[in-house]
Amino acid sequence: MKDAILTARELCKSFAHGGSQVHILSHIGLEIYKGDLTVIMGASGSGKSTLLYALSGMDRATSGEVIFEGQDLVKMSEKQLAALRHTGFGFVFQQMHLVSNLTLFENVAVAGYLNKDKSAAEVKERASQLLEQMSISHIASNLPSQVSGGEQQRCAIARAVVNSPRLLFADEPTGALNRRNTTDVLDLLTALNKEGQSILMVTHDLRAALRADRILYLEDGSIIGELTLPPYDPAEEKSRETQVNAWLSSMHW
Amino acid sequence: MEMTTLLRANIRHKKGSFISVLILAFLIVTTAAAVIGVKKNVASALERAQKESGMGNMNAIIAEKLLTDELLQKVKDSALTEKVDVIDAVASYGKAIYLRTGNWTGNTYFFSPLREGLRLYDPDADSFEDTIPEPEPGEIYLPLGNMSKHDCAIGDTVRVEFFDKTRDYKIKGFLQEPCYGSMMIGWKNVFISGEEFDKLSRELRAANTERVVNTYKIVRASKADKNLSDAKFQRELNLETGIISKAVGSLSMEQSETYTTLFMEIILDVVLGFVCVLFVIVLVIMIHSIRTEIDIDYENLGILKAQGFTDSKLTGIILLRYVIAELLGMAAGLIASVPLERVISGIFKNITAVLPDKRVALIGTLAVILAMLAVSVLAVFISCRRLARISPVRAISGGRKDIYFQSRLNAPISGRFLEASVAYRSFSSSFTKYLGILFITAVLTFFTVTVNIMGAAINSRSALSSMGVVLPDISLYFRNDKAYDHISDYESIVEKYTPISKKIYGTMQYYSLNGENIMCEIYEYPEVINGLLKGKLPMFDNEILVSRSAADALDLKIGDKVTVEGRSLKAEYIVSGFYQTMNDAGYAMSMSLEGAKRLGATRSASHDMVVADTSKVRAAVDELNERYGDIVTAEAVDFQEEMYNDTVMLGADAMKITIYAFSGIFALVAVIIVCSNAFTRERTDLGVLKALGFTSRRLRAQFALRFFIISVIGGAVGAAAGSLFSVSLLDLVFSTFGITKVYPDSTPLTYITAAAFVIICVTVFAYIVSGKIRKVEIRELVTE
Repeated sequence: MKDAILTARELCKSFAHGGSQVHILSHIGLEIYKGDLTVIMGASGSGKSTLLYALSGMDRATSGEVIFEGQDLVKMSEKQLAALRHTGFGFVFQQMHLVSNLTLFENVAVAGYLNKDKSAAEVKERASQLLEQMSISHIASNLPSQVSGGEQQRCAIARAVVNSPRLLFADEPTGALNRRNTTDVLDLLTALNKEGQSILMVTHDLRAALRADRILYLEDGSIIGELTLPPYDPAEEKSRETQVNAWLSSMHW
Repeated sequence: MEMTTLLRANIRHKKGSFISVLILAFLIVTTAAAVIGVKKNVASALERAQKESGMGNMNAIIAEKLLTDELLQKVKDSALTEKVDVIDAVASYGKAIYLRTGNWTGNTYFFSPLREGLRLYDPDADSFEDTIPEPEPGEIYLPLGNMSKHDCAIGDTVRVEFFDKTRDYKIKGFLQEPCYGSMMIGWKNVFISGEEFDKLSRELRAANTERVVNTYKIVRASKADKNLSDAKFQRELNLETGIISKAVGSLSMEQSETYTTLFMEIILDVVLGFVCVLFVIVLVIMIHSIRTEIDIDYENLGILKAQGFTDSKLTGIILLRYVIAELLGMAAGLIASVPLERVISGIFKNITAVLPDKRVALIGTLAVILAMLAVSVLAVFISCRRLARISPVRAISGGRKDIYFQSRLNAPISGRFLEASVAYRSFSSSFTKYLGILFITAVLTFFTVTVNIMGAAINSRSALSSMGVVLPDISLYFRNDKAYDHISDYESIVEKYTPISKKIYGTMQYYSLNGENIMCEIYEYPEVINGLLKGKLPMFDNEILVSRSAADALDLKIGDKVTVEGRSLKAEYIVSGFYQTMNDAGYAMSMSLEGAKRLGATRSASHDMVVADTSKVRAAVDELNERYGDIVTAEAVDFQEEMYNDTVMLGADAMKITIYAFSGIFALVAVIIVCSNAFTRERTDLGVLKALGFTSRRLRAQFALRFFIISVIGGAVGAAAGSLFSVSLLDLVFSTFGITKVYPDSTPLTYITAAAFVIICVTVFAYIVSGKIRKVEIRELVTE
């Protein structure tokens, strides 16, 4: 039996649009397990990213509960949520979203500095170590505009894990990358997961989904299917792909 | 149609800059139109008043006995004159004290019978009465300038010291008398009934002595050649007839106009100059705004180009938006200027003593509006040139991203000073985007520094003293001839309490210098003369100092020989130096009493002292009055009260407040525009920082901190520019007062308060405007 790191109950999200309410998420209940790489898939407009943002506290749910370490994110103040973002969670965006006037090193370090548990020297050391791990230490002093998309995304991952978050959220982390960079980024995320990092990733990239321990399928704001997979082994990727493809077909993907 | 659609969308989308430009244009036109209106309305009212009152181009006050029939006839017969008339006058000798308030003046009042051509103000001094009732015996009409200068009212009693005795007069009303009526002119022509005047002049004529003259004639002569300047007319008439050389003083119409409107002109010119600077700021804001808009809207503009819109069409849309905003602001400003003009006119009416007209200065204002529009259009055209650089292909493929460069100005991001270092990075990595706000901060600081220096200069005893203003601590008024016999006794009494550092004993006389009638400041101890600019003091009896303006008008250099002519004697002198003075708007000369004796002067008329310890003044004055009160009145002089009164301070304060308020408003608008553009451009970065765990409050603090850094640099630049150029600017402004060199009594606080004001405005406004950060949702970063 795995431990749940994040639990959602009766999670709803709706928006007012033209005088009526549009329901994006409808009474979702789920658990994200510690140490898992969980993937959420679904067709465009199914509410994947909305779910990710509601679960990460970056957007507030309309109703329901999101429990992280015994606390309900929905009821947290803005200040508590801000603190959670640099202590408990890490986030990787599809468009990387590095701060454009900071170097790669600084982008990682700034996030580290927000966590007051570590000294500045420790943050610098951790940032250097992560950039090394992401193979971008040689361009650490470059600005985002001076490096490739893949390098930017690796930096974004380093930034997301600089504070050793309990849960890493990734929103289509390979969506803006070419094939080679996609593989690199997925390898990095898989490696982090193997080291024990819990990851919740939204994607509609099959190659990303293959790395998952568990896939949740979202349709019209509800989870309609779940697939549990054995730990990822590159040698068995072909058979894993067939299994995931078949399951996705059954979900009308 | 496509233009109209786009224009409408453009205005809707850029509401912020549209409203900002509208507000700025409104403020500028309101102020400019009001200032122009006040100047025009005062000028036209003054011209009419001069005509109605029969004022001459030369108005010379001459002792009755010196105006012989022969001399008068010579003036009348001169081809230079068109019309000459003579007004009878008797002069007060000592002080005029307003009993209700205790306010007093040592300036001479020339009493005349009430005459035609003057206008009586209603009790509120807002309009004129139809007629002027003849005053009863004991009643007096005063020029309006007296009301504001001495805070007196109808019904008050003014006690006037004459040579024979003091007389009390009840104020019946205030008149518009355009020649001497202004608060800025010391001598006053005041009016009593004809019957009482006859009695007074009989009594005072009997009291005339060898040294004391009580009865005078005011000779008013109009020039025949209207193209001749009043100064030249006076000079030529004097050379031909010698009338001005015989006069105790002569005031030309042009001089009277200058003195009457002097204070008003200085204040309004400073405000108008500031308005011009504000317009430059508007241009900077517009240029900055357009360039940023083009960067931010790169994609949309590129798509429009791809659809066939030409650069000129796109320029036309931007141009129209700004022109419409300006025109709306200007139209509103024109309307708002009408009540503002009335308020300003009301303030200055108390100084000029002339009831201003109430017309709207349409032509002048329209000229300003057209000039503003023309310059704005040019600025928009130049700024829109970068539209040509927009590539439709690049726009369609995702637009142009902001490119940041590694800057030498960059400092490392620090964990300990995270907010400050991130804020500084935002600034240093795109320094050029903040040049506009930096320039604006610098200009606003420069102007507030200048106003502070001006305030410090006109409120500082040492600064005014350096500029040639005589500022005594004790003034002695000699009540009769016997008073002259005890001067050393008065000095001994004062020195019992505190050493006398300066004996400012002297007199003011009008002499003709190379034919030009000029006030001469005569000093018994010429070493007390302040304001020497070049050369040396006139320590010998054949030396004179001349002011710069007099030297320029008469083409005099140091070492030149000049002829000075008094009422009966003339002598040659050497120009020993140039000096500055605030008397007669700086058109003056100065010499020692020994030098003036060569022209018939015998003794000093005024006796003032500067002492070492001013805290002892009161005791010294009390003893002087106790022991010699029958022949001398001693007064302790308060420098502030002596120099200014409420109206003058109100005008100066109003100017200061206007400049500070406008600086604040312009800082606000500039910050709104620059902040909004920066906010739009950095919206994603702000979202990312929020996603990393920065709170809205911390991000707002960063935003404000960034503007704080910029404004500190701008403030420092402005303050440095102020220390280099403000005094030169003030020299220019004060030169109309006769002060060609301003000595600022400024302290570091003069600069710090000005810069701090602008910095605080910019920082606080940036924090307020950055409230929008709260609305940035992290979900905006999501690409669905």
